[in-house]
Amino acid sequence: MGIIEIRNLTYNYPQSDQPALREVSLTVNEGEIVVLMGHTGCGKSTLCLALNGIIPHAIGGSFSGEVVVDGLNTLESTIPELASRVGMVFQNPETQLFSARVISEVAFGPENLALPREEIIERVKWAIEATRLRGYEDRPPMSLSGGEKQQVALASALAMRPKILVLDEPTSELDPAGTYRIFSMVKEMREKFGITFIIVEHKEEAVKMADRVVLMKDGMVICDGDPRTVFSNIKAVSECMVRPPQVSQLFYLLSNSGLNIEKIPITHEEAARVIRGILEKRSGEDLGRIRLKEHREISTAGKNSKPVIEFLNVSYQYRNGPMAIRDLNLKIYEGEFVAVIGHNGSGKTTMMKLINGLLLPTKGDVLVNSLNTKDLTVSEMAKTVGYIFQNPDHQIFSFTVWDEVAFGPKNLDLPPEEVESRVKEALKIVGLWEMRERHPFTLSRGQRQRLAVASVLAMHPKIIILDEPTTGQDEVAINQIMTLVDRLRREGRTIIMVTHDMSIVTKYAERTIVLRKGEVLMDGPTRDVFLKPEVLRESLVDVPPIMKLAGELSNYGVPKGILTVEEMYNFIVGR
Amino acid sequence: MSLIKYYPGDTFFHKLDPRTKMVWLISIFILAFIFTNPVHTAVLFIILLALWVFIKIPFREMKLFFKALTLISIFTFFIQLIFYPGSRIMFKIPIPTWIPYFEGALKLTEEGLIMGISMVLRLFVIVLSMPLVTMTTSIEKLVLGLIRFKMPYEVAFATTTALNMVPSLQDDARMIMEAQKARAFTAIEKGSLKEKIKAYVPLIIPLMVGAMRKGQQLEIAMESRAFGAYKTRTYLTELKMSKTDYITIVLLLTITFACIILRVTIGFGTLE
Repeated sequence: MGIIEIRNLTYNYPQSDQPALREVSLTVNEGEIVVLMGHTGCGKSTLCLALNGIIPHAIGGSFSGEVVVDGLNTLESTIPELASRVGMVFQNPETQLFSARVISEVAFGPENLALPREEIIERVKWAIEATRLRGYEDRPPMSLSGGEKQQVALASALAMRPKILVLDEPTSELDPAGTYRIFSMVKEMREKFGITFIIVEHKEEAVKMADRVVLMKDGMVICDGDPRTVFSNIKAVSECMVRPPQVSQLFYLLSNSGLNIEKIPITHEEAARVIRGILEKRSGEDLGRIRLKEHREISTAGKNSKPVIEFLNVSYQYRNGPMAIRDLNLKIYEGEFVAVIGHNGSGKTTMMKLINGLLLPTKGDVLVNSLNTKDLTVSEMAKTVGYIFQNPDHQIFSFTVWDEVAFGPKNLDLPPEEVESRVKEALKIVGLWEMRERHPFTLSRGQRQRLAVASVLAMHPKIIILDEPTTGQDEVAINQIMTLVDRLRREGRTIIMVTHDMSIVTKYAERTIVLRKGEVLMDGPTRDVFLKPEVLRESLVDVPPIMKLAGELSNYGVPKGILTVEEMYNFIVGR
Repeated sequence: MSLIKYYPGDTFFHKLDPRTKMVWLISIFILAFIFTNPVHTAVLFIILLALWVFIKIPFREMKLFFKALTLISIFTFFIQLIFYPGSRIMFKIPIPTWIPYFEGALKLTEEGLIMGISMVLRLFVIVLSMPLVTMTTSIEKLVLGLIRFKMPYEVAFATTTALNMVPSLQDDARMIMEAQKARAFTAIEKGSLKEKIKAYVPLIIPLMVGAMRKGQQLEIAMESRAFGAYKTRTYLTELKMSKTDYITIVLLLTITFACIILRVTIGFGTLE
């Protein structure tokens, strides 16, 4: 009898005729780390909420089937009873922390259980130790970084002394360093305290620490097993729109070309072993060093043309705050696809806002198409620089998709026929033309993201800034947006992308700028930048797994500069 | 909103139990209310000023607050000066006779002047007394104090959580403004009043929707930690009334009652 037993769970949200969960059955054993994956809207979060009774007791809806957690049937138990068995951490640090001090936040749960004060103090101390927050007790949670906030959320859940911890996309909003810290704490807690973990995640680091992976699609469990078995089921993985680990993607391509492999590797070490075997079999042949052609077209306009964006000795200091950018000197040329990466707080978003005029330099000048941002208003800049923000819900307000996209062009005082044609064009590009009469709130998160893109595209900007385009998105949505962006680039636009996702940096960006504490640490062709992992690490950035694989195979003739899955594949099949 | 912010310290006032501070606050309000004589109100005012200095809170952060206060005070003073009826006229300023009530002249009377000063001082006393409590008491202690005064803890929590959410909503508002500006949205700056009000829609809707979503998520987060499990809950913070607290409360209550009685019997603190 597992610590969690779910039998034929079917659930509809109130007033919804589409079931969010269909006949879900799952058993989880004590001490397991189970990673739940699937497309947006597949029911992962719903399943989480069914584990501690929030569904159905707090939310309502129609519930059939059975969920038994640590021996308690959730239908017959109250939320407080379940809360001492199951702790939860949610995606957004802002909406789960509400106290004035870390210590009061962590104490909140035990206080609600009306435990004696001495016990509360003891539990709080333990939880704070376990999440490495010693010294943070009196700090206001609101003043902490995203990663630290999630640590507090974890401590607050831990203070309930649950046997099970459910984490719903805990690292979506975090940078790689924060992500790493959370995951290492998860492993530690499982080792030290035997806590069972259910983690909803998109990132491959989660897959690597999982005992089991469960794939969901449209409310159903499609696949359930150990990570290697699950990711060997290529059909299930793609049906559920899950991004497999990079090295697994390589093997998908290889198996398509006829390679017979039973268990698909998920870590670069495993992959290295298999590939060494393949390459050794070929040792007689000339392994050949393929010259890695740029698999992306570099704009021919290149360095001889005028830069579209220039940073001249730019510094920016927030009022009463730190120096976010120091003496930045850079030029970005027309048609480039530039990725800007670096640790949280390195100045990436500040740099972006300096480009579209939301922020004006405290020292130095920013020129866009030779015009100084200090001489133009943000609205005037909006004609040239399109800024696609991370959260589409921060801008959506219209009653129809059409109106939402028309907002921008109307603000530009364009004639109605022009507005109409631009809206139509933008909606068709993002594939939302058929939805033009729908209310934006009826769209899925991925669709709303595309709506945000469309509303920026309708302004016909020559320069497009993307702020974290892939956070929390499933594979299909990511592909749609990135393919779209790449297409826009090929039409001659300049793209600047801020992201933590190194696999899309290496796949799409020809140039990468690495920021560290407000200064440029590295700036150059992506390949050159990523060939210096020691330097990258100074900004807490790590190279994507496929490059680590290449590193492991360097004495097999694998060229050092391999950046992407496709390049590795091409090398292996000998193109 | 640094008036609500807590500035830790270990002055005498800081160390008082929040309940004592609440009694103090109520006493000050009552006294400010019953005293109309500027002399008595001035005494209250000086006591408050002394306390402000004593609690060692940096005045720099309060600049905006003091500016606003000064403006309102000047306004209040002049209203009293001009409108308060009195017999001992100091100055007469002729004004057009078609303006109602004044009968052709602004009569600045001594009584008006005194009343003006008194009103301003009362205003100061009331406005300056509240921050003293909120700035020297941590939120947890305030909440606990309210709960000890029999306020249901859900209400106390709802209030403080809402207050804590203000910075988060301010952040949201800023981000929404930025996102809309980046779509060439300028309507707030130009246009008629009606247009300007309509212009707030692209800001208000995302903000409201965001706030509601936050509220929902917060509710789920709090329930997941057993909020509302039982009728009572235990508290990490402890409130203990010390001897000093009891003495202070007794003193405050005595003075207040004495003043009330004197006011009612011999008109102590009034202008008669």
